[in-house]
Amino acid sequence: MAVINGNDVGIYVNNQLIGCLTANNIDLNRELIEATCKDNDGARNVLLGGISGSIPFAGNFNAASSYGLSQLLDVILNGTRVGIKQAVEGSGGLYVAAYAYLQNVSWGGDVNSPSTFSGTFEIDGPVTKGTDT
Amino acid sequence: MRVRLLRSWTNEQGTKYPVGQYLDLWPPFAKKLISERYAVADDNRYPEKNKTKTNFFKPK
Repeated sequence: MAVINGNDVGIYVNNQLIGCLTANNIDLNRELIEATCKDNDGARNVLLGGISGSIPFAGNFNAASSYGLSQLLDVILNGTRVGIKQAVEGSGGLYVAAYAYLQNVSWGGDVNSPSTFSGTFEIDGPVTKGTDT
Repeated sequence: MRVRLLRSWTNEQGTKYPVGQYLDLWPPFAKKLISERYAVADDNRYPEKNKTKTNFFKPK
């Protein structure tokens, strides 16, 4: 069994890797529409709704990153809709892709610790998956 | 996948990267840039791993 190392799973914004990340997720959620009625004899009945999702991330601010905090600030200030992928680095790697808006960005500067940034992309539109070929 | 630019390249956000810039890209996109001769693959992402170990016990 080949367990994937979390270090090899990154977030790509318009095909560019966000540099110096310390954590990232893609959270998908299928809406379930409640449709239970008395005829169901106590069982739950639901209808499928849409898929929504968010991509929270956090990292250390490295000014040398070719894609980092500065570019992410441009995305949120300009309200740009960007293509997001969370993917395993390497040939044959699984990826999940969607278009998204950057909903929030935080930039921190605590004493005696690296300056950090974090944020969340909110998915807009369909979500696809595949493998790197 | 890390590449080194052979020509200046502007991303979708309008950020321009100069010749010689190292970029970390989604591998299929990196291969596209390489095929279009915009960049070359950079194998030295982790140069410390590529160093040959010194064998102190190797007879001279």
